[in-house]
Amino acid sequence: MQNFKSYSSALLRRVSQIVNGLDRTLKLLVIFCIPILLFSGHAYAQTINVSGRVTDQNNQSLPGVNVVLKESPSIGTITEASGRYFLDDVPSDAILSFSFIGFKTLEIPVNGRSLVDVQLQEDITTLSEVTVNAGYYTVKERERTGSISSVAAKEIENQPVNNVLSAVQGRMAGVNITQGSGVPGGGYNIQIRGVNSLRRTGNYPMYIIDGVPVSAESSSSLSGAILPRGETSPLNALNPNDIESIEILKDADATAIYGSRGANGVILVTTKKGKAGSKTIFSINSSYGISRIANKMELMNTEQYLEMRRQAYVNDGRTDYPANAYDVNGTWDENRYTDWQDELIGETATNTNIQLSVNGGSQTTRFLISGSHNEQSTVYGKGFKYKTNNLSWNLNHRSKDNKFTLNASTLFSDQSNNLVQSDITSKTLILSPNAPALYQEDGSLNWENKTFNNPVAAYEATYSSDVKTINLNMNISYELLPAVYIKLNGGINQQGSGELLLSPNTRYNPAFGITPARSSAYKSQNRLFSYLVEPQLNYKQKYGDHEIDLLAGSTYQQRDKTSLQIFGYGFESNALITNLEAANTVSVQNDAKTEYRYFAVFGRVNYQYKKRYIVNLTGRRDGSSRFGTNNRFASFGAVGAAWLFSEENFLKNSTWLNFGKLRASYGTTGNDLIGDYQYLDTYTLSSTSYGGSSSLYPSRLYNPYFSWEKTTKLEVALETGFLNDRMHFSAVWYRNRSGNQLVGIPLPATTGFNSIQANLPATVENKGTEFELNTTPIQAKNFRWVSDFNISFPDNKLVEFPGIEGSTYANSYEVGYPVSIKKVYNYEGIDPETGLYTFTDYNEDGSITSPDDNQVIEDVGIKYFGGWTNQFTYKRWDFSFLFQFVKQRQSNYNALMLNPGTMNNQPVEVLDVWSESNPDGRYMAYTSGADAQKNKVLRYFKGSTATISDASFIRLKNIQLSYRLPVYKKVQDIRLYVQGQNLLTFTDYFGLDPEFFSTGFLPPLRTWSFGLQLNF
Amino acid sequence: MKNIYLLFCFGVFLLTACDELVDVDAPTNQLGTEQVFESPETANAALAGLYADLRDGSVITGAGFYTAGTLMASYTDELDCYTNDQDGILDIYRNLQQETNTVISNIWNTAYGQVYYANSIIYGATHSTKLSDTEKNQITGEALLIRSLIYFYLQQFFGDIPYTSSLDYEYNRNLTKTDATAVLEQLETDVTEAASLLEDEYRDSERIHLNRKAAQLLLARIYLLREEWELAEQTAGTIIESPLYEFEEDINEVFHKTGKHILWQLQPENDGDATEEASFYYFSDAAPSAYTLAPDLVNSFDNNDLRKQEWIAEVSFDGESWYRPFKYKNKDNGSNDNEYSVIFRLAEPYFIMAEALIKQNRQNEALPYLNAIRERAGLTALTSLSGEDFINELLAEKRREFFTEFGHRFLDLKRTGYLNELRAVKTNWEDYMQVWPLPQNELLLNPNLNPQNTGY
Repeated sequence: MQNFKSYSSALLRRVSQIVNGLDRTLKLLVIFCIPILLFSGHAYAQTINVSGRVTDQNNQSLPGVNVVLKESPSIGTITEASGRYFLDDVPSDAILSFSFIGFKTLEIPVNGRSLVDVQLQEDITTLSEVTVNAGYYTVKERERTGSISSVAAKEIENQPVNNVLSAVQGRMAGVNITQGSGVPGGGYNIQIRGVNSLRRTGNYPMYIIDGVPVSAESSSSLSGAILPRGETSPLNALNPNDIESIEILKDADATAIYGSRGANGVILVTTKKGKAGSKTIFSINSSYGISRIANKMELMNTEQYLEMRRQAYVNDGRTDYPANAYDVNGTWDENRYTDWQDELIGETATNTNIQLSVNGGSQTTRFLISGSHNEQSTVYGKGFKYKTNNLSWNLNHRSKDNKFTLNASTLFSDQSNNLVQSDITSKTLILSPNAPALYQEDGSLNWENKTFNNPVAAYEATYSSDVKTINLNMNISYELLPAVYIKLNGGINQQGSGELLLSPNTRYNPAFGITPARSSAYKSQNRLFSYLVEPQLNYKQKYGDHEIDLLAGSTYQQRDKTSLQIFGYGFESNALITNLEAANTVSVQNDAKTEYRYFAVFGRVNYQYKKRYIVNLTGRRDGSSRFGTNNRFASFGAVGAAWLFSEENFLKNSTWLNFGKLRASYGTTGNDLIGDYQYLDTYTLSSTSYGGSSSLYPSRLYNPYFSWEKTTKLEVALETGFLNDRMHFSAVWYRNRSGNQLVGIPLPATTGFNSIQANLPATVENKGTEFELNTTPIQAKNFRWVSDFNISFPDNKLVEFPGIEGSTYANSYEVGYPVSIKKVYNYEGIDPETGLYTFTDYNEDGSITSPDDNQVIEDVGIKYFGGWTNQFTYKRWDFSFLFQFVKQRQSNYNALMLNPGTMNNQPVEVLDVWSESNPDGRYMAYTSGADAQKNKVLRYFKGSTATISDASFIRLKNIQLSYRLPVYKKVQDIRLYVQGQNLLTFTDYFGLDPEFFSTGFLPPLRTWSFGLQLNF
Repeated sequence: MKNIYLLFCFGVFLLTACDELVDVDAPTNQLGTEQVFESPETANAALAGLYADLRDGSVITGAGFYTAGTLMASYTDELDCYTNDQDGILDIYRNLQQETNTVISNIWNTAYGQVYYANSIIYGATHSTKLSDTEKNQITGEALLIRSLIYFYLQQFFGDIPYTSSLDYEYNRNLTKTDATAVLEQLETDVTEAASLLEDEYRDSERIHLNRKAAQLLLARIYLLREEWELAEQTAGTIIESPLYEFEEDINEVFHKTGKHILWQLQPENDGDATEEASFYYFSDAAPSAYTLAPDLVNSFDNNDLRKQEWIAEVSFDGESWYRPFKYKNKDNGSNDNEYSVIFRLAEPYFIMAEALIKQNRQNEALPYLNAIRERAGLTALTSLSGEDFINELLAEKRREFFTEFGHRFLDLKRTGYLNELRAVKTNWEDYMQVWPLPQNELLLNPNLNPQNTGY
C-alpha cells in the first residue's frame, strides 16, 4: 500500500512535469507560430466547414473519391456512396484536391465557400496511373516491360455466365478460350499463344486466385461421359461478379517469375475489395436468364429418311427388311415425325442469380462481404440442375503511418451439380425421325414393345457432384527499413468433392431382363489440401534520375490429395441406390493419397532511368517432386526492357502522340504438368480381386530420367497513345519455342502400354502477332462511345523433331507444319463407273492404305481470331456489344457421319446423293451397311480431305443494355440490365457449332438474362 | 548497399535447405516392383490381378463384345448379330472387318497388355531373392501358361504375330512378326516348360487356378495344330486317365462349379455374381437386339438332343421365335450359387483324342470318345464312320457341344481346313479371312509389323 502511494505520487509528479513541458512546448510553438500566422494572415485566421458532392461527367455520384487539402494531404476524407463529403475546419482559402482512380485529379480552391460540388472528368485511359497486377508485384501500365492482358470488372459484370472465362472470350488478344460444353459446371480449353506441349494436359495455364495457385487439373473422376474429358474449371468456384480483374501474363518477362509453371501463361484473378466511404453500402443484384441451344442441324424428315432407308435396301439387293429394322419393316409408325433435337435438348434452361453484398470502411480499414446463390437448369429438362453458393469476404488494413498493410480474403464456394450421366446430344442427330414416343400415356417410359432403345432412359442414369472449395489468402507487408519491405504471402486452398454415379436397372431395355440386382452406384470422394508460403523482401528506391525496385522471395507449396472411390451393385430396390450400405456387393475401386511438393526461390530487379529507360530482370529456381531425384531442380529467367520514346525531348511536346513505348523481352519458362509419381517403378493396387486375393498390376512403363520441358519466349512490342489518349494502339510480335517436349510417347500395344513418359527432342514454335486498338471516337457531355478491337494471328509449327521418321509420331506430325495437322486421304469425288468414293492412290499400289496414301496434310486450326467491343454511354443508358470472330479450318460433320442408309438419321445435305441421273451428287448411294465396298470407302472418306473444311465464324457473343434509374432517398443506385450471350452466329460450317469441337457433347447455349442491381 | 547484402543473405538462406523440401512419400496405393516379389502374398496378388483380368476383360472372358466366345461365334456360324451399333461388332458378324475395326484393336491391345503383365510377373518372380523355389515355380508356371494361352489365341486370330518375353519397351516397340509355325513351336516349348513347373494338385479347392493338366490340355491343342498326332493323343490321354477327373454324365451338371470334369474355371469376383455367359445373351419377350443362336445351328440338333433342351432357350415375340445360349442359368448377381465360367473341361481332351486317333486312321478307337459325348446328350452311339465323314461328324458334334465357348468353332474349322466352307452361310466370306487384319494403328506405330495380312 505504502509502495503504491509513493509510486502514484511519483507518477503524478511525472505527469505534471510532462504537462508543464508540454505547456512549454506549446508556448514555444505559439511564439514561433504567431509571426507565421501573422504573415500568412487571413488564411489561418478563419476555418470553415466544407461539404459537397462529387459526380462524374454524367452526374453519377462518385463514392470513394479522395478529398484532401493540397497543402496538407494528411487532412482529408473520402466521399460516401452518394458522392457527398464533409470536411470540418478547413482554412477558407485552402485548395481541395479530388482524386480517384480512373479520373483526372482536380484541384479546386475553396474560396470561402461552404458548398463545393465538383464534377470529375474521366481519364480515358489514365495510363500513367493504372497499375497492373503482375503477380508478385504490381507495375504501372505505362512502365511495364512484359505482356499482360487485363480485363476489368466493368466488362464482365452481370453477364449470364457461370464462369468468368465465358465472359472474357474474345476480349483479349492472344488468348483463345473455348467452352468445353453447354452443360453447366464443365471445363474450358484455354490457349494462351497457342499449343506449346504435345501433351494435351500439358497446355493448362497456371491459375492464381488472390495470390494462391489453384490446381488446373480436375479432380472429377466420374463425369467423363457428360463433361468433356471429365474436365472442370478451377474458376467455376468463383462468382464472376466477385471478380475485380483478370490479368493474363503472356511473355517471358511476365511469366519467368513463375518459372516452371509459367510456360502456358498465367491467369491472375483478383477479387473485389471493399471501398472506403463513411457510409456502408448494401447491394442487391438479382437476375433471371433463359437459355436454349444456339444452333441446330437440319436433318431429314421422316419421308426423306424412310426413302433413304428403303433405297439403301434396294441398293443392297435386299427385298425383305430384317427383323430389327423397326423403322422400315412396319413395326414403327411410318407417319410419325419427331424433331429429336427439340425433343431431347430443346428445353429452355433457366438461370437465376441473386447476390447480396456489404462493403465499406475507413481510409485505413476496408471490408467487403458478398454472398450469392445461383441456379441453372439444363436443356435436357427433367429437373437436372447446377447450383452454386458463394460466400466471400475481404479485409484490407493499412496502418496510419502506411508502414504496415494487410489484405486477407476468404472465398468459399459450394457447387452442386445434378446431371444426366452421359450426354445425349449426339443421339439427337442420329435417332430415326419416326422412332416412337418417349413416354406412354401413363407417363412411363415407352419401350415400344422392347423394340425401342428409349434415349431418355439415359436420364435414369445420373451423375451428381458436390464440390466445396475454400480459398484463404493473406498478404502482409511491413516497411522494415526505409524503402525495404518485408512481405508474406500465404494461402490455403481446400477442396472437398463428392461424386455419385447411379445406374439403376431401369435405364436398360427391359428385354434384357435386368433387375435391380444389376443396379449399380459409384461413389467417389476427393480431398485436396494445399498450402502456400511465400516470404518476400522488396526494396524500392529513387536516386535522382535512377529508380530501382528489387524483389527476392521464395515459395513453398505442398499439395496433398486423397481420393476414395467405391462401387456397389445389387440393390433390393432402386429406392436404396444412393446408399452403398444397401448394395449386395461393395468394392473399393481406388484409395490413394498422393503428395506434391514444390519449392522455389525467385527474384526481380527493375531499374528505371529518367522514367524513360526500363530494364526488368526476373529469375526463378524451381524444384518439383514430380521428377526423379536427379532432375528435380531447374532455373528459369528473363530479361525485359522498355523505352518510353514519347518522353524524349523530340516528342515530348508532340500534339498528336502523347505516349509511345517500345518494349522487348526474352527468357525461359517451364512446365511440370505431368502428374505425380510418374518416375516410379511400381505396381498399383486394384479393386478387383480373384480367389479371395486382392490384386496388383504394373503401373506403367518405367522411366526415371525424364526432366523439365522448357519454353523460350521472345517478344517485341510497340505501344502508342494518340490524341490525348483518345486512341491507343499496340502491336506485339512474339515467338515461343518449347523444347525437350515431355510427353507420353505413343507406343505400339506390344510394349504392354500405349505410351511412355519421356522427353522428346522435338521443338514446337508458336509465333504470332497481336494488335489491339482502343479508341474513344465520341466523348461528349452526355454521350460517349468507346470502341476496342483486337486481333491475333497465331502461327504454330513443329520446327524440329530429329528421328520423326520411323517414330510413333510419323503419322501425326510433320516438321515444318503445325502440331494440329491431320494427315488425310485425298478425296477425288465419286467414280462415275462404280458410284464409289475415290481417293488418290499416291503409292500407286492399287489400294488405299495408311500411311502411304493419307499424304495430304490438312492444317486444322486457327488462322486468326479476335473481338470487337463497342460501348455506348448516353446519360443513364449503357449499351455494349461484343463480336467474336475466328478464321479457321476444322473437322466437319462428314468425319462423324455414320453410313448413310443405316438406321441413323442424316443431315439434309445427304439427300444430295449420287446416282446415274444425278452424277454431281455429293454423297455415295446409300447402303444398309451390308455393302462391304461402300463400308470400306466410307471409312477412307471419313479420314479424307472431305472431312476438313472452313469453320470460320463471326458470333455476336455478348450484348448488354443497362439503365440507371434516377436516385431518390435512401437508395443510391438502381440499375436495370438486359444481357444476351451467343446471340447470333454467321458461319458456313457443316456441323452443330463451329466454335465447339468436343464431339458428341452439348455446345454452348444462347442466353438472355434480365437483372436488377440496387445499392443503398 | 546494406539492403542489397541483406537480400543476398536471405536468398542464400533459402537456397540451402531446399533439396529435402521436395521429397514426397510414396503414394499409398502403389508398391515398388521389387517389393512386390519379396513375399509370396504380394507376388500372388500380382498373379491374382492377371486372373481377374482374364475373367473381366480378355479374349477368354466368358462372353461379351470383345471375347473369343462371342465374337468368333458370330464370325463363324453360331451366332446372329442384331445390334444396330456400327462399332465393329456388326462388321465382325458380317465378315466385313477392316484394319480400323475397334473391336479387333481392342482385342489386340488388351492381349498384349496381358502379355506384358505376365512377363512382368515372370521376370519379378525369377529374379526374386526372397521367394522359395516352390513359390517361384508355381508363380512362373501359371504366368507362363496364361501368356501362352493368350499368344495361342493371338496366333490363331492374326496368323504371324510379334512374340516377346521382354519387358524392354525399346525392344518391344520395334518387334517384327514371327511366322505362325515358329510361334507355335515357341508355344510348344513354353507350355512344356509351364507344365514342368506346375503341379497336378490344384492350389485351391475349386480349380480356379491353373495346374499341370491345364497346361497339358493347351499343349495337346498345340500338338493338334502342329499335326503331332501321337503327342496329342498321349497328352490328351494323360488328362483323361488322370484320377483328378471324371467324365460328367449329367448334362445339367456340366456348367456347375463342383464338377470333377472341370480342369480350370474362372471364379466371378464376388460371391453370388453371375457369369458373363449367363447375363450377356439374355433377352426375353422381345425381338433380339444383340445376339441369337443361328437357326442353322439350332436346326443341327436332333430334337432328342438334351443339349438342345437344356442348353438353348427359346424366345418368342410377335409371332416369331429366336434362340439364345442357355448353358449358364443364373443371370442375376447375388443369386448365382453354383456356376463359374468353365474354361477347360474334360470333353475337350475327348475331342482331341478322337481327332488325333482319326488322323492316325484309328477310327475304331476314336469312336468311343465321340460316343461318350453323344450318349451324355441322350443320343445313340454311332457305330461306324471313317475319313472325311468322321472329321465332319466330329466338327458337327463339337459345334453342338462347345457352341459359344471360347472360339472353339473357329479354331476347329481353321485347324481342319474347313473354314472356307463358311461361304455357304456367310455371304461376305473370303478365303483370306482365315486371319484378321492387324490393327492399323499398330502398323503405324510400329512399321516393322508390315506388311498387313493379305486381303486387308
